[in-house]
Amino acid sequence: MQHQSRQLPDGSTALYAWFEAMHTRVDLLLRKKDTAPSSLLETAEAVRALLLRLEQAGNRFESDSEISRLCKASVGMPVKLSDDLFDMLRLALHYHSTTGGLFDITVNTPGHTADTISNVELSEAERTCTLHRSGIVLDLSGFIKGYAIDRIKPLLTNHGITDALVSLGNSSIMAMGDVPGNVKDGCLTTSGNDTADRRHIINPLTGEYVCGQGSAQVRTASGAEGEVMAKIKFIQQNT
Amino acid sequence: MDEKKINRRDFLRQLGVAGAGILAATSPWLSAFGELDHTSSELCRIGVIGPGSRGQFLMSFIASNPKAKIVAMADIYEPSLQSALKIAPDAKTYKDYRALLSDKNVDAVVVATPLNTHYQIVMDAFDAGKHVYCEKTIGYTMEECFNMYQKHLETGRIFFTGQQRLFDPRYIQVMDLVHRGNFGKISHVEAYWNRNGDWRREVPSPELERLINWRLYKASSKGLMTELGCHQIQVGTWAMQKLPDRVMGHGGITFWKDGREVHDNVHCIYSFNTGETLNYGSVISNKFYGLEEKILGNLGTVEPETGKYFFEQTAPAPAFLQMLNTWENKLFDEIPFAGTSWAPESANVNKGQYILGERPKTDGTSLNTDAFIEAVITGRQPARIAEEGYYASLLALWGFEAIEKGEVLAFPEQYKIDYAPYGTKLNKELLS
Repeated sequence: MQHQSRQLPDGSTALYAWFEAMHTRVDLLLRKKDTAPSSLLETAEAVRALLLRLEQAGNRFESDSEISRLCKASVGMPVKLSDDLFDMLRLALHYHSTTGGLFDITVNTPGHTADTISNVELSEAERTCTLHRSGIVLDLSGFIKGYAIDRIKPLLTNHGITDALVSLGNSSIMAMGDVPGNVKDGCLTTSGNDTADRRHIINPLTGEYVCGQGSAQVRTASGAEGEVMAKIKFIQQNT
Repeated sequence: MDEKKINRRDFLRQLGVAGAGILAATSPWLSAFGELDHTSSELCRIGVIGPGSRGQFLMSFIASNPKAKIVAMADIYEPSLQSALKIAPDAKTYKDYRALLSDKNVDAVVVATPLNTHYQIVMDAFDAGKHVYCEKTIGYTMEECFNMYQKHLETGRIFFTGQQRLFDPRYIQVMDLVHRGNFGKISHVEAYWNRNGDWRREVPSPELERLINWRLYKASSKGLMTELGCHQIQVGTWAMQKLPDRVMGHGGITFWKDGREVHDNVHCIYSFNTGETLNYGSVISNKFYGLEEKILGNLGTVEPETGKYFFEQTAPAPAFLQMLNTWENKLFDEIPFAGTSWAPESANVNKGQYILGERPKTDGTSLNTDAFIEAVITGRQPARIAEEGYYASLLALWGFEAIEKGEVLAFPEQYKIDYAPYGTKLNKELLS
């Protein structure tokens, strides 16, 4: 992990660490009193380990990831999930329901309709997921970054970090405590097309890619909610 | 004269970095600007010795500094004096620099004469109690440089040299990143300055050839090593934070066979006992590659002239680096960031990043003269500025000697000065 640290005038130690994870760059700025740079580096390593674990669970582009194996499982067969993936899917289904279908992790499924997601069944008691239709594609892209932000925050608190700025790909940012910059306590999430040619967000209600250069930003307390709200805001701006 | 007000905020803005405090370890001479806001009513009275083309270039910056006034000029070549009067119309003019040195209205002198004349002028200036800004290379021989530096110490007068890169915002910022280990261990610096031109000035009358084209003749110049190499070799030692142990070199007149005596093609290899190398080359019959000092570390590459750096792996985000500096310096400016997602596939083409976030606007010359003026007013010699200038000159002359002798030369121990800035813990770790 690349990093650099500074002793600050108030006696605290600051660390900036950066690396690649979740198909993007991750930037961590951490500050803590009465600690050594090595301690902050351990915290940064713990963040990276968490991100790699979540990526292994929820990255659909990795054929051996847990979510890829789930999608390849037999129709109607319950698949036992890790707590991480179960929690992500549970939240994703929750947001589907609260957004009237504008947030839909099955949108990349061939032949997708508004009803496709009803074929994804979670069992809270068994911690399993059952897919009731073949060919379902579960896509947590974007959402997984916001979810990861929400998992990083308690990790940092447990490590005694008072001030932190966390950026996943520049589009999912979380600030806590006293940090410089334009993001204060909470999350800032951006969704959009950085160029006119880039199209990667599908409107689940129409099945069409959202076209045009532009972006939408939202400030939220939760990173996962930020991902959902930014994406919906961008869709609504361009529909 | 422009009503240019220089205060600390403007200075920091010119530097294009978060604050001078963080750069103290890398560029301690920036302490010259420590009292900018308290010296605004003071005036530094400057005499320019040798107001030719370079001298007038320096005068253009001095004249725009409200804390300085060019009160006198000396030159044996009348057209230069007449031309320079357009910049400083109130200045007294002298044929003999010694008369200028006797002028009690002169606090400090800027010496921009041919190389072989620097020594006597600077020694006389120090003896006359003047502060000195001497163009590089400071001396014609290593011994001269050594004596000039010793005279500076003995007299306690301010001594600056024309190493403007020491004040170039790109270099200051880059060296901070280099010394903090951002580019890893620096194994090699590749410095070169290539031009395509004869390096001649127009001569109105044949008897003036050696006076005007002094750069081309060995009696007055040591050619590309002292006129160009001096700037860039110093960048190498600034980055490496240590002096080389050996040098070898080769030079020749390969294209401009027009009666000149100095080489138009020089190359030197400076090497360190710890294995690193610093190459310097200059060719003036091809300009394709221009000039650069490529600083090669195992984590990244810096091209300070271009103003860019390139990381071997994922680069740090400039906004986060700035925020780290902000925490350290308690300068809470708005730092805009956040946007649509950064994707590694769009970052695969390593286009590098601008050191200051944009194309550079200044080469440091104006800040160098501004710093000299501040130092004269406060009477305080900024740390390490004379020493960096001294070693820059020494290394250029040492390389020239290696070329002339065609031998591998060991560092001339007799000219080492009491200067140990390369012993900080951080740097020892970097270089081990």
